[in-house]
Formats: sequence, structure tokens, C-alpha cells
Amino acid sequence: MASSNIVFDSDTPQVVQNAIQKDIFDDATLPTIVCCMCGESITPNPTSMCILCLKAQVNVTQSISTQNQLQWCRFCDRYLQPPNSWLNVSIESRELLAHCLKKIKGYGGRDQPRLVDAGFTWTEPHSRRIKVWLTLQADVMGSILQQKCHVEFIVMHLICSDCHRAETNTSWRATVQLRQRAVHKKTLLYLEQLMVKLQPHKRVSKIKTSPDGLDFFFLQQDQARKLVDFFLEVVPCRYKLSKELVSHDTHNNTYDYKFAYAVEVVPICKDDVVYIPKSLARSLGNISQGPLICTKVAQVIHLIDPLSLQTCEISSNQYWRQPFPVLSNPKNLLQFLVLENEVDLKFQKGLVRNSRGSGTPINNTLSDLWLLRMQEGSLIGSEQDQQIHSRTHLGHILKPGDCAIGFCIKTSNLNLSSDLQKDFDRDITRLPDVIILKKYYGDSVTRSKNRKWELKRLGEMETDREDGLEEFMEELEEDKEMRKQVNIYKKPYAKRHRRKAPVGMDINDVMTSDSDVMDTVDSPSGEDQAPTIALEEMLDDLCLESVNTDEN
Amino acid sequence: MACFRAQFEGNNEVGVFSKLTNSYCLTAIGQSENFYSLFESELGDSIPVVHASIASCSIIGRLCVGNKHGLLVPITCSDPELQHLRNSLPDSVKVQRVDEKLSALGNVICCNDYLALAHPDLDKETEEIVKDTLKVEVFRQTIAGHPLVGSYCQFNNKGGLVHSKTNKLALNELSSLLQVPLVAGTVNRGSDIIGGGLAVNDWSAFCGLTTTAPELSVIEGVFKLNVHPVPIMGAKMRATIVDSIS
Repeated sequence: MASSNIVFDSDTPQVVQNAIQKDIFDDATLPTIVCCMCGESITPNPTSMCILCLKAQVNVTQSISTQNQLQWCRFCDRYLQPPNSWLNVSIESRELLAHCLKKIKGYGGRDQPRLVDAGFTWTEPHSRRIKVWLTLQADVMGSILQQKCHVEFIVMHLICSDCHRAETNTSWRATVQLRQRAVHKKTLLYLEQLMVKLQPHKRVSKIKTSPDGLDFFFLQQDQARKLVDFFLEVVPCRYKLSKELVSHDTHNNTYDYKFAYAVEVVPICKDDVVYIPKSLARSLGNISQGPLICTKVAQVIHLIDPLSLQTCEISSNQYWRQPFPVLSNPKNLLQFLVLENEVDLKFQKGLVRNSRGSGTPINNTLSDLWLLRMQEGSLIGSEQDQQIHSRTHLGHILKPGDCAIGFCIKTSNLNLSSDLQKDFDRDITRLPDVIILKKYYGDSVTRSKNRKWELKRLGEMETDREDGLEEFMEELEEDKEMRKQVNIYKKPYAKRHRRKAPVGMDINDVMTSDSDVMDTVDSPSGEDQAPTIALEEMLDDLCLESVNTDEN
Repeated sequence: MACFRAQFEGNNEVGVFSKLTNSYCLTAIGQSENFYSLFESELGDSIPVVHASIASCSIIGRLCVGNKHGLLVPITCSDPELQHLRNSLPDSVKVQRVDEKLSALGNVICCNDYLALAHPDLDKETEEIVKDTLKVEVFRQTIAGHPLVGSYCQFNNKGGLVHSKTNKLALNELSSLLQVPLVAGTVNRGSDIIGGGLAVNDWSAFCGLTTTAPELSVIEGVFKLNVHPVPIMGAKMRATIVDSIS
């Protein structure tokens, strides 16, 4: 039996090297001696024992602690590294092995075996045991013995302080209360989708929904402050910081506060009709005071005058200095049938407004419209006496026969402040009866049924969180620019066909259904074809549950 | 059995605390008489067994060297001790004090009644004294690379045991030099320090208490302490020994 065998997977010691004599003599010239324990003839080694006797005599691993404990937080999947730091390592990773090896006592020291190799032995995750095997080498009476042994770790539950704080209700140090006090909160929905995409709230410990918006809870003030900075950057809003004294120590002059950032988003959303104060109108290039239509809410509020196509932008500061009311209420919007569309040739989309031919081209087409009032798809009154005249900025979109959504200024109760009311009364003679806001593409029930995509939401998912999401999704379908800012997810097949699809389905079904989407996009849309989103704009959602459980 | 296990005050290095030759036996003076009485009971009939100390030390086996013709003690041996030895030993044994730098004579010289191995650095004069007093031929040798020949080998007039790492060539050379068969082996459960662990003459041997049965078999076989081979000795082991002897 050769004394220099290296056997790695042996639980009993092996003579690895005959340290002293190896380089002076080679095996051939050495005499055979008898093993001092059993009489077996062997080549001499420092212990003068055969391998079997050596195995019986020596246990390399006796100094190793074979049972240890690991502390693990099941909420955040981290392991405690004493005294008080927590390691975010995955199971069977190098880092976890290093952490385990640090816990094992009894090797590497003086008169202790050396660690040569180590690894994990697979265990059932729910057994809450981690098994590590070690290969150890030790000098025993001049020869190097190698032995493999197993060390078992019991994974103990220990909730880390962070999770502990997050789990208890009074744990947060700072909260951001995001609110929009408007009838329908399209800006808030847009902001929510921006957050889904950009994840500025990574360190949030809890998100709560409230009737007017969302609450974000944080463990540190600066994390909350970061989120507020994000809000200030992407939408016009303002915030107020308030703090509550939790405890204080007069000896150390330390004070412990809870902070609350109340963020209020401007209550103006896309397609709202506003009437702005005179001074503000003057400062914005003498734009008319109103009615103005909000075309977009991004970092600033974009407004357009539908009668002159003049546009302006109102920053957050300008708004909060002189807040102005929204005239339209989505519940009061009316449907109209377009009878005639007379385009004003001087103000067509793509033309350059100024006479010298320089400057940016205009985005809209000014036109005169002749409308008829509609209700639930049928006309009200006869054509002759009920025709309404209006001027609109949507001349490039509307065609005779289309339906449009509009707002009747003269019949609505506007609730303006006394100053604005005075200005409004003066203007009223030059205003059209109806302000057209957008084209109507069909009722929302059929549109939502045909929809092949969905959005993700923040906070706890309640299915009945009916806060104008439907309108927001329709808006996304109509507005390509806005779509670029948000993540649109493919609706899973099972969800799309829940009502009609049987349980059994194959991949071909999925393929054809996807190609359906492509077809509708590629084919030239018909007269009343609602706009849809192309498949290449959608993302695949990461779905961790299997199809079967989803159907159940 | 002519091979005995002994312990001197808990120490298994029998060859350190005793000096055994064919005409006398010296044992160290210890707290208990167990060690001495074992030697006395086994050898008392044939040769004198004497309590002795050299330079007030009990490690007499390492300090002196001798055979049936004589005994050499180092210069550190005091006059009364020398006198005691001369009085106790038979008249045929010449006791001689040697002024040698390597004063542990037992470690640097190893001999039987005809031949001696010596440390390569041993004094020329000492070599002469060894020749004259012990009536032996002296060869300067090393055992398995170690110059302390007295520590790493032990032989009588019939055979010898050497350090287990002595290679075959050196073993053959030594064997032909000493004119006796030699075997590489161990005593005291794997110890290579043969001289320290073993005291031997032509008909008896003493080794440490930890010496195992296979080791005892080898010792008895090579020193020819039993006329008949020990029946428990396995065929394989015998083959080993025969292999080494031939």
C-alpha cells in the first residue's frame, strides 16, 4: 500500500505525505518493516504503522465542532454575522460557505488540523439544516494525514432588528404621504407607473393606500427625503415637513423625531379645463385667461388655448403662488357627434406659425366644428335646431361622423372665486358653448375587454381600487409619448381569456392570440377602431406562480 | 520468552537506564526497585546485575559503552562511581575512563563483543581506547543518515536491529561489516530510537512497556533469543525478516 495516496472522499484519515524521508530516499531503496501494531509489512513511515492501524489510532477531526448554529432572519433571508451585522447570502453560495467556516471552531490553529477543502452537502431546504463537509490535514507524528468530516448547522430563526422594526406598527421613522386632491387622479396614476418603472422607493418598508393617494413608510428620514426629491423632479407638487417628538434626552441633547412629508400633487390632470387668473395669464405671454385645456402634466403643466392654439407651461411654483380651479368634472362631460369640420387653413398641424417661416411647427389644427348632442349613442333633438358651434384644437383628429367628448361651459356650475367670476362674465360672450376635449373611441367596457396588457400597482392590491385606472389606461393607448414613461406588461393568456378559455390549452393558442394583437396593430385602423398598443411595446411580466394555480 | 518489557519510573526507554552485556548488567538507581528486580530475577543467575550511576545521572545506558571485555565511562564519571563499578564488575572486565568530547558514549558508539560502530567525528584517541579496552574493530558509520549510531541501532553477536529508515543498500553494507544479519525495525510502538528503547545481550532483551507484540516478535527473531521461531509470527512477517536478512 503506497503511503502517499491522496484520497479526498474518505472519512478516515489517509497518509498524504511522508514528510521527512520523502526527498532523501525513494520507496524502492527503503526496507520493509513490520507495522508496530499489526505486523503487516510496510515501507517505513514516521508512525511505523500501516494505514489501517493509523486510521484506528488517529482522528484528525476530533477538535472540530460538528454541530453549530446559524441565525437566520426569514423575513429578509439574511444570516446573522455576530455581533450585529446581517449577511445577504444565498444558500449554497461561496459567501455562505465562508460564513459557515468562520463559525466552525477547531481548525487552522496551533496543533490543529489545516483546512484543505470544503463544500456543501445538499439538504432539504425545509429541514433547516445546512451540512458542510471539510477536508482536513494534520501532522501526526511526522506524516500528514487527511480526513473528511461533516459539520451540521442548525438554522435558527432570529428576526433581524430591521425586520422587527418594519413588522411592528410604530416602527417607521419617516413617512411620505402622496396626495392629489382631484376628482380623478390621473396624475397620481401616472406617478405610480413612473415609480413602478424607476423604483425610487427601493428602501421603503411599507406602502399603504389611502383614498386620496399613497403612504410610503421608511426607517430613515433620508430615504423618505430621496423619494420626495423624486416627486418634486417628475411632477408639479409641493411638500410640507412636519415632525413629532418621540423621545428626547436632555442630558445628551438628543431628540428623536418621526417625520412626515405631506406631498401634494397639483390637482390638474390631462384633459382638464381650467380658467387662470389674469396676472398669471399676462405673465404667460398674454394668453387668454380661459378656458384652457391641459394637454400634459409632466414636470410642468402644459396648457393650450383651444380657440387660438396658443400654448403655455405653468411650473409648480407658479401654480402654488396663484392656484386656479378646474372647471370640468369628468362626470359632467358630454358626448357630441361631429357633423362638420372646417379646418382653419392658417392653423394646420405641421405649419410654422410665424410668417417668416422660422420657429417650431404647430402641433394641432384649429377648426370650426358643428356638433350634435348625443346620449348613450343616440342623438338628442333634431338636426336643425340643436346644432352647436365650437372651435377646437383637435381639427386634425376629428372627422365628420366621429364622436367627441366635450364640456359645456355655459350650462355648468363653475364655482369660480369672485375675481375669476368677474373676468369670466366679461369673456363669456366670445366663448363657444362647448369645449371639445378629446375624441371618443367607443365605450370603455369593450375597450377593456379587448385590452391585452395591464399595469402594475403599488401597495396592497385590492381589486376594487377603482380610481380611474380605466380612463388612465385608455389615455395610455391614445398617447404614445406618455407610454414611453411607463412599463406596460403583457396580460397573461389565462387572465385574458378567463371567461371563455377552457382549462386545457396549448402553446399554439398562445401564439395565435399574440399574433391577433399584431394583426390589429398592423392593419389600418378603421373609422371607429380604438387605438391599441403594439406587442413590441409590452414587457413580459415575471410570473412565479404556475398556470394551473392561476386558473384555480 | 527471553524478551521482557520493562519501565523505569514510568519511562519506556529501557536502553537509557540500563547497560546490558554478556558479562554484566548495569541498572540506574531509581526510586523504586521494580526495574532492578526484573533484571535481577532474569539475569541474576548468570551475570552480576549492578546499581550504578555515572556523574550522578541515571541515564547510564547513554553515557557508557561496553561489552563482555570492558566498559568505557566518560570523563564526567566521578572516582567513587568508577571505584564502585570496578568493585562490582568481574575482574575480566576492564573499566576505563575516556576523555572524549562526545561524552555520551552510549549514543556515539555501539558494539558487540567483536565489532563496534562509532560516530564519524569520534576522537582518534578514543577510537584507540575502544579498540584496546573492548577488543573490537571500530568502524565509523552513520545509520539512516544519523551519526548517533548508538541511539539508532542495537546489535548483539547474533543479529541487530537498526533504524527503520535505513535503506536497503546501507543495511546490506552494515550487515556485511558486522557479520551479523540486520533488520530495520522499531521498538516502543513505532519508535526509531532502537538504542534508547532496547537493552540486549546474547540471550535476553529488555524493551519498553509499550512495545507491541509484532515488535517483540521481530526483536526475538533477529537477536535469536528463541531457538525456535515464535509460532504466532505470521508467514508474511517471517518473509519480511527473511527478506531483510538475505
